[in-house]
Amino acid sequence: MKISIKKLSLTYLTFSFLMITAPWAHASPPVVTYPMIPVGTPENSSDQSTGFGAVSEPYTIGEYDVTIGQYTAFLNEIAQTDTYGLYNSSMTNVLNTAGITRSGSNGSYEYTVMNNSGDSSNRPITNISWFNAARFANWMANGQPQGGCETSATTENGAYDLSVADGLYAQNKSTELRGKYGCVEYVKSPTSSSSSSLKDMPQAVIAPAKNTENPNTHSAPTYYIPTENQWYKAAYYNQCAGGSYSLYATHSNETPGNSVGDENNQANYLSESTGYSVTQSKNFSASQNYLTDVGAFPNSSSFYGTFDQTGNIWEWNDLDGTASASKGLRGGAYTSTPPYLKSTYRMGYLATRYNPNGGFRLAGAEGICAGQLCSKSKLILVC
Amino acid sequence: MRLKLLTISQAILLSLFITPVVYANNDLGIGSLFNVSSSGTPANLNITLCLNSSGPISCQNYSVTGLTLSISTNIPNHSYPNAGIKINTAGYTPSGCSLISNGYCVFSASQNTPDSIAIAENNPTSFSYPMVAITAPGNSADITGFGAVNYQYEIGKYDVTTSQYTDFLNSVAQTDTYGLYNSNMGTDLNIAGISRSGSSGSYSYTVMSNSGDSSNRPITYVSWINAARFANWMANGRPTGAEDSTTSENGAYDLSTIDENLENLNPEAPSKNNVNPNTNNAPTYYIPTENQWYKAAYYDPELDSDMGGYYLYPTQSNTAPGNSIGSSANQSNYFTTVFSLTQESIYISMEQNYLTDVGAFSNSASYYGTFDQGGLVWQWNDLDGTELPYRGLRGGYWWSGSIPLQSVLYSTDSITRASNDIGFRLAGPV
Repeated sequence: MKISIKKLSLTYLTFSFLMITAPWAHASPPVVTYPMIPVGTPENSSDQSTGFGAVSEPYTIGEYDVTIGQYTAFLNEIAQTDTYGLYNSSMTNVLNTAGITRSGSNGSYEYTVMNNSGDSSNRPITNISWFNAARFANWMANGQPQGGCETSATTENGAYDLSVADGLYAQNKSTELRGKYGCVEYVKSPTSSSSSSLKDMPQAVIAPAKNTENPNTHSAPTYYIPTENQWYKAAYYNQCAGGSYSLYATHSNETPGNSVGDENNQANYLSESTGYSVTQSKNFSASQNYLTDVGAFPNSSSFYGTFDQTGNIWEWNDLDGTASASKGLRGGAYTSTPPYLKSTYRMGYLATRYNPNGGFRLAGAEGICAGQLCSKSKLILVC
Repeated sequence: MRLKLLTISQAILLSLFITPVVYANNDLGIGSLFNVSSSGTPANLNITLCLNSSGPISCQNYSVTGLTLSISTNIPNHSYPNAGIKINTAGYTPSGCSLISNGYCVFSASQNTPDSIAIAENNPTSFSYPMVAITAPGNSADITGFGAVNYQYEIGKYDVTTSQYTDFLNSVAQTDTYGLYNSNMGTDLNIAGISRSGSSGSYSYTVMSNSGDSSNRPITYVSWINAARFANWMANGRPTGAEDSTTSENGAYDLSTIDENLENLNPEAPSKNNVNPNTNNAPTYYIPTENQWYKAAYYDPELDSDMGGYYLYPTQSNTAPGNSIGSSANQSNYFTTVFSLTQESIYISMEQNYLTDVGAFSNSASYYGTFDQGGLVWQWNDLDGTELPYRGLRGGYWWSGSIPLQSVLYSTDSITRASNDIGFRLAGPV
């Protein structure tokens, strides 16, 4: 009799444990609130001076870059076992942009937002490869699953199917990680390889095209990395001024100033006259934070109302959306002088690589704005 | 009769030797200050001579008819250590004297010991632009998709320099119809540069001294269009004349569409000509395609057991270079936590030169022997050569971090961009 009771309670305990990590946990409030801005006027013309900016469909885009606080919350949900390196030590060690600290051991990692000359929560996350930006997009598109592993249900599929990349990653890594700590990896056989002689270089992995359907939700992905045209239109297009484009994403053709605060047409960049934005000094220090909080220039948004598409950090874009080894970066960073901030300048970078001055913002489906996540003040634009 | 003959001899003498034409700033209030005789190669030149050229004060204009001058003063018992000469006729440079920033060339003059000044006609075709051969045709592309070139070609060992661009300007830009000179070349002391004197129709250009001779530093403030003009001029055999289809406006690139609408803010770069209309042959100089630039910078046919492979940096290295000038391996002019040239972390905007001479990092070449493909200045490339409003930039510059030096980063910008961080090198057929 006693034995049966013990069995019952064990069953009950097991059941309780399952409840905590069960899929119904998705009904919890979202971990991350990421405001989106609707970008209207579909089928606009491209910018004649560059050929970019034409977008055929309505869409939404992040009002701000994804922040250190948001990325930390993401890691704490999904990267207790960090199978695919969503965290890297540069997020802690590069004080120009730090960051996030990690404690504990694999299987029970915990992540904390750093205080780095002030709380870094609302500064943009950097040291993000295109692949890790895609993982964050997947997680958002999968409804921010809470707790668990880096799997096809959480980070490795959703907007982007990263299984081929993960296969190559696992090949390069020690295979010890596989199957440990209760996290089962999602690994397919690699379908591409490289003959590169660069043993110490991240292997070129083809960044996949966005899924037309999220296999986890059976509908179109709700969050994703903006294409170059989507990013460009949100930054520079003005649907009221006869469909013209500005040179800077501060709704201006004049070079911005770099004073933090509420003046018009300001941005976080490197001025030849005043120096770095945060310090207003032309002297560089490896131990100085140079990031500003997202939205720190409240009267310097784009026409549509996005902040910091000029300066602060370079932002990933998905180029034309086709699969490719390199992806785009635009907008300039705290390290950039004015020519690099302009709509005319663009970079491409290997999608597996990351930098202290590069991060991202997400784009999303038009329908996201039916919910509560959109900035309501920007919903109706009056010309 | 006798008097008349004497007068004629005197006239001949004058025309051969001494012809003070205009008295300028003649504060001595007397006649000819200098005694000038000319000989050697005939030429008709207008010159200005000053007793003190650093002022300049006590100056007179003279005409001379030969390129070798013997100059003394007509002022007894005094020597002038800072006398100076300026050649007012474009296309000539004096030697045997010391050129200073106001355009005068300083020498020492006295009555009894004539000083000899040699004048040389500028010969823009004389500079050398060394090229290296890029072998191993048919190589595979890098993991980035770039670098495969299935034919042999050559590429500039160095960036085009300030003095080379100055020679180009002196050859074609006496009337600078299309803006080959950018005034920032003379005023932005981070990179200067070239000064321009005279007026339209007789502009002349001089390499500046800016914390040292800037001759062998890379030229900056060149748009893709002006880089194409330089390539045209090289492909046309470095001719002298106005900016037209035989000198700078055609050759490797037909720039007539751009020239016909200079107000167009968004011009497209034309594709390279298959045939140079001035030579009826394939262009001998042009802007490298992105693959040509990339292969020269990063490829090494001996890597991977002679299978061939690519480095991450154009210094035959997969680790970021240092930035010490000199003969250490794997060095480059870029910003680490300090600038290369000053070794300081602070940026000085108005007075500090940041350019190193091309080839200053003597043990940091690519496999093929090119220098400065990482750091110093971004260099234009022609992407895949199709018509577009933008062109490629690779390699980073003196104020960039190490990332832009990497093979895995590319960038593009408007073909009209001209700034203190961009230059170019040329490529050509074998």
